[in-house]
Formats: sequence, structure tokens, C-alpha cells
Amino acid sequence: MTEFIYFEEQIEDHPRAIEIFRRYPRATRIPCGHYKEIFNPNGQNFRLQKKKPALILAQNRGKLVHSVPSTYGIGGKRNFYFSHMLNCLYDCRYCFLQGMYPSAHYLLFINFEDFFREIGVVSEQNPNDGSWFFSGYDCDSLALENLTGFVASALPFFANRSNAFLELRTKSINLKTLAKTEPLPNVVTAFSFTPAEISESLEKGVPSVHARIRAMNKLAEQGWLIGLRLDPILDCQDFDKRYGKLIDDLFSKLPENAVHSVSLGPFRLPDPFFKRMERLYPEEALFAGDFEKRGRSVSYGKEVERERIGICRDLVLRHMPKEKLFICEPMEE
Amino acid sequence: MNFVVALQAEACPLIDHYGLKRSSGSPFRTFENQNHRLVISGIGTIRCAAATGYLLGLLPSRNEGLVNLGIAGHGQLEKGSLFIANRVSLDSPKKSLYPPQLLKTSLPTSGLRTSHRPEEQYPEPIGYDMEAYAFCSIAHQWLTREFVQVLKIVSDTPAEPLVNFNAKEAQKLVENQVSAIDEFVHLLQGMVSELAVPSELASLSQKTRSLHHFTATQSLQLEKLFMHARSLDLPMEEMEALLNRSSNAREIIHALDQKLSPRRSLS
Repeated sequence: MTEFIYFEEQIEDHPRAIEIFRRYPRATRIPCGHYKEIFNPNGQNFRLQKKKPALILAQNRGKLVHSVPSTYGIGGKRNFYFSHMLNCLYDCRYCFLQGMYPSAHYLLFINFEDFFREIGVVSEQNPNDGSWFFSGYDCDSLALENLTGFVASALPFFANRSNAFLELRTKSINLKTLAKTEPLPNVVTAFSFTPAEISESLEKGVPSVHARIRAMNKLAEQGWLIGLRLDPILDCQDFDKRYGKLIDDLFSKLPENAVHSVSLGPFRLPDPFFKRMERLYPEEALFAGDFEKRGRSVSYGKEVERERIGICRDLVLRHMPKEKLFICEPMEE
Repeated sequence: MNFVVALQAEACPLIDHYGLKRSSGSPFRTFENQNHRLVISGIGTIRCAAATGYLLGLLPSRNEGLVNLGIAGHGQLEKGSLFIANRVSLDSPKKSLYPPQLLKTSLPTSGLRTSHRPEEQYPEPIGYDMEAYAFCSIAHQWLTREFVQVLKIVSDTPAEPLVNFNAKEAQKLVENQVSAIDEFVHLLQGMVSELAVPSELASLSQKTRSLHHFTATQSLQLEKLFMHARSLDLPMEEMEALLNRSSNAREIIHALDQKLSPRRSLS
């Protein structure tokens, strides 16, 4: 999978690093003092690197668990995110990672135990209110599970903590780790979707909508809770028809009690991210869309956004009660 | 493609291979043709940094490949081997740069340490040279890092240590690897071209700006609209017809924007 593995010299003997080296014996190993020497320099080209990303193995020594804006939750009072990995196997043209990071290399923090320790501390700060931990902000939670083994490590940790809830967000159909584990009531696997035509043109490397729905239904049948994420919602021709079909397909075989939550989020990006992405892919039709700058973000015009979200909300509510529906409100600035 | 090479002996095989001609009146010996430029820096980090800066100033755009080529010692590879530097470090102060390795090539990659004097001990299984770190650190100031690469040919090893510099031998070592170097250069050029503005758009933009006065802001708007026109599949003939009908920059920008408006929803 990867021809080059950069690693921080001090983690060379970490069991997880050794295991990864063992699994990729032909990869060239390049030592570094700190991952930032490779990941952070400006002047790198995300688009070019995305074609052949290297793997960087490192330790995250900073703050590991961060608060999530209050408008982004799925029903919990206390919401946090953490990133054991930066960057994603997939290449979705709308993804903010392209605008956020200077490098497209996969950066894996192998000190999982430190993440768990901090999650434990944060959830115990207020043990009576459940705390939600979102894992799929800076990477797909499951797409590189074969490489990282993160979910396999996280499930036993969450199994012993009923007041800590985990959201795994994914577009992957690689669900083996979950399939071989007894379902946990405090773990939600959230699948994000756009209509099939949009997915085919903008989500490079992502399994088809059909394959993902099939995998999701299988997981639901096994008893795992499922989240549905229509985020970002993208304006397109035949919007009603395309999103109508997608939402019907999503619910057609999904048992109602398996649905934990549905969230809708408008397309929005911080202005500097949008500009960077536009520069990376100037020929991309998405970036020639009818966007406007609102505060420090770029999004569709307010009217279009409200209308599109409204259509999706009505379509979703045909299939499930409104208590399970959450709309991610962008922070107006 | 552009090269910074320390010595004339190392440069000769490339000058011959690409048919480069000497340019006059330049502070560093410079050779070029329509598609290539080569500057001879002299030995050491200071000369190399200066020559790299000089060459960067000659480039018509930032969308250019730049290679530091030369001979180097190596603690592991055999004499005559060509390798790509995947980590370029400096002894003092301790610093490293990592040229991104994205090209699909069969050439080996290796670490490379730049020192102020020739390495005689070869303490690690890496390469040793006297220029690459300076080259990278200057080139990275201006060019996309992926476009800046270091290629070295092993001239001395623990088994065959450097005794005296032999210009003929250095030339021979490079000559033997010219076709592999050229192959690498082709791959690098291919990657550089991926980010180039499509030539038909570039010439249309140039033509439009030669016919009307565009302010700096209007020029940027025009570039962006041309790019949008392409991504939204507006045929070139329609663009040209629209440009011919408009009589000034403002009209052109307005007309293009109007034309593209109904196409902006994702298909």
C-alpha cells in the first residue's frame, strides 16, 4: 500500500511501529526527528501527494481530545473529537482536509493508549452526562483499519465505559473489525453519503453508494447502531430526485431501531480552505458552483442552503421521527 | 527541466545529451536550450545556494522541475549506482529536508548528508555530498517541493574511498547513468506538466489581454472565469465568440459570468 514510511526516531521500537514495519517489509523507512518536519512544511502539493501518499508514524504529544462546536452534536450534551490519524484513504473533492493540511501523507499517531487515557479523563469529568467522542473528523474511521488497528483497540476500551459514546464516521465497507465484535450500545457507526451521481464524480476511491448501503445494512442486522450523515449536502441538478432516491435507498432495508441518528450539514468551508482547494483543482466543476462568502466561510447562498436542507429534512422525516434528526448549523461569524 | 551541478565534469554528459548551449554574461556558467537549463555551481553549500538562487531567477514560472545532480560518497550502495535522495540532512546545525518521493521509478532512494568537507569514514549506510542541503533549502523557497529532487551517483564507498578527485572518472560515472537520469527527468517533467495551465486557455488569456486593458484584479477575474468555463464545459468557440463581441475588459468579465451562471449547478 505504501512505498515510504517516515517514522519518528523515538517510536522506532514501539510495538505498533514494529508491527507496521513487519507488514510492509518492502517499504522504504525514513527516520525523522518530528513528524512536523515532513507533514507541516509549506510548498508541498496536496494534489500530487494524494496520488502516492506515504505513511508517517508518530506520537501526538499535545492535547488529544478537543471540544466540538455546540451545533455539531447528535443529541449528547458533551461533545468532543479526537484524531488518531490525519488524512484519508479516499479523495473527496469537497473534503476540507485538502484545504487544511499542507500534506496528503497519512499521519498515524500510534500512541492510542494516550488517546484512551485522555478520553477516560474527559468522560469522568462529568460522569452523569454521557460524553460523545467523534473519531472521523480528520480521517475516515474505518477505511485504513487494516493498517492502523485503531478501532480494534478502541472497542474494548469503550465496552467498559457506558458514559462514553463513540462515533465512527466512514465511507468504508471494511467493517470486519465491527462484524467480529459483539455490538456495543455506546458505539455508533455513521456512514456519510451523497447521491450516487455526485459520489461517482466527486468521491474518488470511495465504494459505490450501493455497496455502502449493503455493508451498512449488514452491520445493522448484526445489532450495531447506525448513523446516517448527509454532510455536505451539495446543490446539484435534479436535487429533489437524486436526494429523494438516496434517502429512500438508505432507509429501504434499514431497521428503524438500528438508526441512531441522521444529521444534515450544508456545504461550508473556511474561506482560506476553499481558496486553497480551488487552486489545487482549478478545473473542478464543484468549485465553479454558486458559492458566496458568509463571514469567514464559503457556502451556498442562504436561500439555496435553507431550501436544500429543508428538502432533505422532509425526505428524511418520512422515514423516522424528528427526535433522531440533527442539523449541523454552521457557526455564523 | 533545470539542473544545478557542482562541476563541469559532472555537467558535461548532460550538456551533450540535451544539446545545451552556453549562455554568455551570467555569473555562473549556464547552459540551456528551449526546455532545459543547467547551472554549474562549484563545490560547497555556499556556491550551491548562490547558483540555485540564480537559476530560480531564470525560471519563467514556478511550475518547473529542478534537479541537483552530482557524485557522492555512499556507505552502502556500490560505486556507479544512481540514487534519489529521500532525506537530505545537514551535519551542523542538525537539520533535515525530505524531498517528497512520488515518482514511480525503480531507482533506489537513500538518505544523504551534506557536509562541509568530503566524508572519509562513511559512518552510516547513506550518501555523503557537499551541496544538496543548500540546494533544497533554497529551491524550496520558490518551487513546489515535489518538483525539487536530488540525484546522486556513487563515486566512493568504504571499499573504494575517495583518494583524489578525478574529473575524467566523475564524467564517466555520470555518462554511464545518463539514460537513467533522462528517464527520471521525463517522469518529473510529467508531474510538473500535470499542474500546468492548459495551453489553449493560456493562449486565449494572453490574446484577450493583448486586445484590451485589464487591471490586476480584472486579470485575476478573467483567469478564474476562463478556468470555470473549462470546468463547466463551455466550448472554446462560444468563449471566443463572446470575447469578440465584447469591447472592453468589464464587458468581457460580465458576459462570461452571465454565460456561465446557468451551468454552475453540479451535473
